[in-house]
Amino acid sequence: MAVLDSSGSAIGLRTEISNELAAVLAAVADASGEDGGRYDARVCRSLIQTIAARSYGRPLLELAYLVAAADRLSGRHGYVGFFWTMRVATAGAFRAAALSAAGRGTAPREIDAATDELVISFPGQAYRISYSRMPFLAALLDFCITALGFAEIDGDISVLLSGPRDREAMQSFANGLSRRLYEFLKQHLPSQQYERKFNTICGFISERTGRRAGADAIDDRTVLAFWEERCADRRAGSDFRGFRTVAVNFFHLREALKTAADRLAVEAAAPIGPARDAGEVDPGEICRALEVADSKRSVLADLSLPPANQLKTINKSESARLELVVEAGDAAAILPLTILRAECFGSHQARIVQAVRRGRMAGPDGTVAALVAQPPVEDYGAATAAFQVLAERVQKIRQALMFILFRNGDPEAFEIGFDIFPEIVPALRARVNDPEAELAGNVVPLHPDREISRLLKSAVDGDPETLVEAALFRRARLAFMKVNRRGFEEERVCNPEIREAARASEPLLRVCCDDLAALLRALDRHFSLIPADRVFEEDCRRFQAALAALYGEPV
Amino acid sequence: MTETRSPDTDPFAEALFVASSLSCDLRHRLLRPAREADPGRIAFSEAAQCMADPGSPVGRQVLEAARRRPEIGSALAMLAQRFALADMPAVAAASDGTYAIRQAGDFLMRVEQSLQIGGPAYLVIQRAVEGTMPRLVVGIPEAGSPVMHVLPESEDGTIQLLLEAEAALLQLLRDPDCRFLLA
Amino acid sequence: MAGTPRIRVLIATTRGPAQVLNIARENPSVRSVICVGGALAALPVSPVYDAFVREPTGVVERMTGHPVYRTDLSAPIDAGVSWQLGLFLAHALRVADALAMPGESPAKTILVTGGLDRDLKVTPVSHVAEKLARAGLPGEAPGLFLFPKGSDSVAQMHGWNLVPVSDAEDALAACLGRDQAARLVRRACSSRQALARWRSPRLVPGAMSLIAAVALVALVAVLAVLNRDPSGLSAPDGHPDHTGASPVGYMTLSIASRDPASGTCGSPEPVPPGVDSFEGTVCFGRISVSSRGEYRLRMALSGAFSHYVDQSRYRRELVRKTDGTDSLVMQIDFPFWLRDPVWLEVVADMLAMDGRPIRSAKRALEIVPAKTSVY
Repeated sequence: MAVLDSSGSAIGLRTEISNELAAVLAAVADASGEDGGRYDARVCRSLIQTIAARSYGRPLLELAYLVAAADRLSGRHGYVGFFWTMRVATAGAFRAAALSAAGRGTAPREIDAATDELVISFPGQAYRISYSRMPFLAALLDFCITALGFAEIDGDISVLLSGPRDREAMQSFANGLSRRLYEFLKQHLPSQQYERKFNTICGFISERTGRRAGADAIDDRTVLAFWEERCADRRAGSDFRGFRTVAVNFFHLREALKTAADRLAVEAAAPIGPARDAGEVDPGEICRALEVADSKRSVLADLSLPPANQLKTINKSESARLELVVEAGDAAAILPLTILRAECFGSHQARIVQAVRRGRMAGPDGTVAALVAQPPVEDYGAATAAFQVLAERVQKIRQALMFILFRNGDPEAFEIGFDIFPEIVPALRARVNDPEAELAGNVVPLHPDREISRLLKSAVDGDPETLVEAALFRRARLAFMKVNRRGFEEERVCNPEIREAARASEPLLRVCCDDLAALLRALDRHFSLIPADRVFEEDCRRFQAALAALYGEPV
Repeated sequence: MTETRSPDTDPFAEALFVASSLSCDLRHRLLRPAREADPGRIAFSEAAQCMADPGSPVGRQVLEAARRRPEIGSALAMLAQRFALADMPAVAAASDGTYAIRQAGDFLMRVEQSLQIGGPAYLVIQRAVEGTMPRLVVGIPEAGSPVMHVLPESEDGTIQLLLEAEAALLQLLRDPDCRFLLA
Repeated sequence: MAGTPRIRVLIATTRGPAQVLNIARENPSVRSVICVGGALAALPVSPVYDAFVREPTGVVERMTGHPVYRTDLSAPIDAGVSWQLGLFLAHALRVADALAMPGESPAKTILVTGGLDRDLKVTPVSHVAEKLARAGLPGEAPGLFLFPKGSDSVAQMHGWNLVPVSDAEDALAACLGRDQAARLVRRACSSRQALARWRSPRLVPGAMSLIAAVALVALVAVLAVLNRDPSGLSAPDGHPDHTGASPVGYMTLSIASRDPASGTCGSPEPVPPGVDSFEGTVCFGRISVSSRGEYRLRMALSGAFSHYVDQSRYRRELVRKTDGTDSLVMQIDFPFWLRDPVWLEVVADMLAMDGRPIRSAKRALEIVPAKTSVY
């Protein structure tokens, strides 16, 4: 009997994250503020990255200083009052709190509330914390207290506040909290599973290529071959049973290997320090690399959070279809077949797993073995067409966003227009330079803002037959009229929250479009050499064999 | 197949792969209603919000969670000390013989019985001098879970709360070892 | 009164009528409340209802002789005053044992809207027609819609007999007949007239409201003359006052009078030295100390009322330091329902570092409240 694949996440990863950790993070991420969340999406993402990379060392030191300063600044509620009596944790709210506290006659001399930052002059070197950093530090403290308990953390803080406020005391507090957090995460966020996966996949690639695993060694064939081998090896654990899971693992591995190689190249000319020699990795550096990778991967999550979620730009089924493409990021162009396989055969495998769970009965279709023998519901031609349709729909949504931005007099509207219709750029540039004639593009306007305002106005009011900007607006309007989703109502177009949502959604949708376009170009290249149906047929044979090895022989 | 560390792998790549995978897991866990696994869980910031405005939707949600989960109640009671306008100690020195009265600083808290058989008890809180009135009363027994009650707003220095005759808060008032906070 | 026909009272609101389900006397030490359907949450309008019930601001206590009630309605009512006439009628019907309780078949249903002033005149309210429109049918019993005379036109509505009223007696007459209405209203008014005679037999009722305030102002004027020896203080150890502050600066006793007409509390006024009694209704007494030092402040209110209240509520003590920039203030609220004289005694001890008193200031004041009817 095969071990069941338990999909621990929406994307199909088998995860060992505890319910407790998930609930703590969800509680902090969902903490209520004023008409929405207490922390914005960016802060929540930073918190997740910090925890995932275990890079909380420096932030905890910053937190120590901020807590000590907050205690001096705040009134009778102490640091608790400074961090939590404001309803929404924003840079502006912290700036206001700091400036107001510092303006009181009783304000401590060693703390200076400057325009952009708090300058803390405890014994030793002055320590600076920007107001924009404070929401994240507040979320981190919220997480620590929610996870570890108020009594424990408050006890540590009391010790910090009762002693000398020098660098040593701050570091000691940060180290203590770091140890507590480490112990907590050791239990609730085990990383051994992924360390094991990393070594298994790298070992496979090294064996296959005869050299050190590198990003360039990862292609569609490698991914499928790896998965087939794991399916055939019945003694293997359950780390790599689902193809979709394996695909995501390879996306992450490719990204990690590529970033590591880039880093090596940059550092090649620099002297190698003792930490590098000892094989130590700076968690802060990991976190920064993760931030770059995650900024693209989290677009779907960001679209579902304020302020973007005022507009329903992506519905549930579109989101499901986009999930792997977005997770792949740059790899969408390199591993197009892997994405297609995960879409088609991943769903097929999920049905088989469900049948196995139901006691080897697969409903009206018969046994698990019969299901294994069947081809997936969706073939590559259909899946590619679905991606094509999705790409066109997202472009239409972006045009609808362009309409919203035009109506709000927002120059960002032209950015969308340039991206979707690059052919209009010369004509529009000419309009900026000379309102009367389409002239050369090498003249710089004297008052660009004024010119843009004029263009925005003529886009809405002008004749679409003669003015390029008005024609662009007409296309945007037509696209908007066809979108029948929440937030896309004409009477709400000029609401500030709708404009804000459009501004926030556009760059996220652009990432989706770019990834989809890269995937479709790569698939087109591939299927121009070997037709999609032939690839699908061959894959059916290979997947059937692998799935049979996993779940039983086909009939 | 080998599953041991390849001597040739880059520790940076490994650390980034692990962090990337964990971050992905966490992100996707958060896309699901993660609180369903632990519905009573509240963020500390919400507990602090509750102290600032216990009558708000968040405040009531937190107090409800505290009723279900003793550990939240205890954390809340501890937090209440920071927000307390009055701390009425366990000692009955400032109480009358039946412990129907507690007094601390400017605040007086008393219980009055209804004239009706089976009627409610009236908890009356008065402040002798003009100032902020509390929005939450917390009873902290020597052993057991704290009991909290949202207080109605008052503009004239007197708050009156109707309680079941056997309400947990009243039982705590009769307990000389119970301490009370007005926050 | 067995066999008295029962009358169901509905308070008309723009969200539909709220039936008066029950009215129960409550402990005089608490405040009147309005709840919905026996629930424990008091409606936000309760403080206003308390003032409407309790003397000297209220009119219900004058009629019933009891200062505190708990009233249950079938639905919430908002702030405003349009419930006043309806609840007054409900109280009157309760006195007459004619208020229909849930489960009882009413002989009549009254739907009421209107404010009520202290002279029991009905005052105008808004949305009268809308409230009637939201009322639905009165049920099997005949329905009367009582509303302020002079309201904008109210269209006839099936089942309801429109009865514009100008005062509480009119409204009660529509319910119980003219004789019984007159008796009930006389009880309410007689209390008021008795009060007027006790205070100043020659003054018209409209001027009565000024009496307490005038008395207090007069006392303050006396103070201005007598300020040369304002102390009433004694230093138990015979030592001079090292604080350098005048004895008046050491402790001040003030009282705030209550206007019997409007029920509002006046500002606290210092009680002149040598004055040991005050005639009128008092909201609260207050002592304050502003010289630097540590003090034990004590206040006690005693009198005949003590036998039915928890006396410890009226004995207060505060030990605290002041750096001289702030005043130490302690206040004691007087019961609203006082009918007999009470004595307010205050002591302010200045404490040494070991906690023993080194100076002591004492005052006592007799307060003779306005007499009310025994009904």
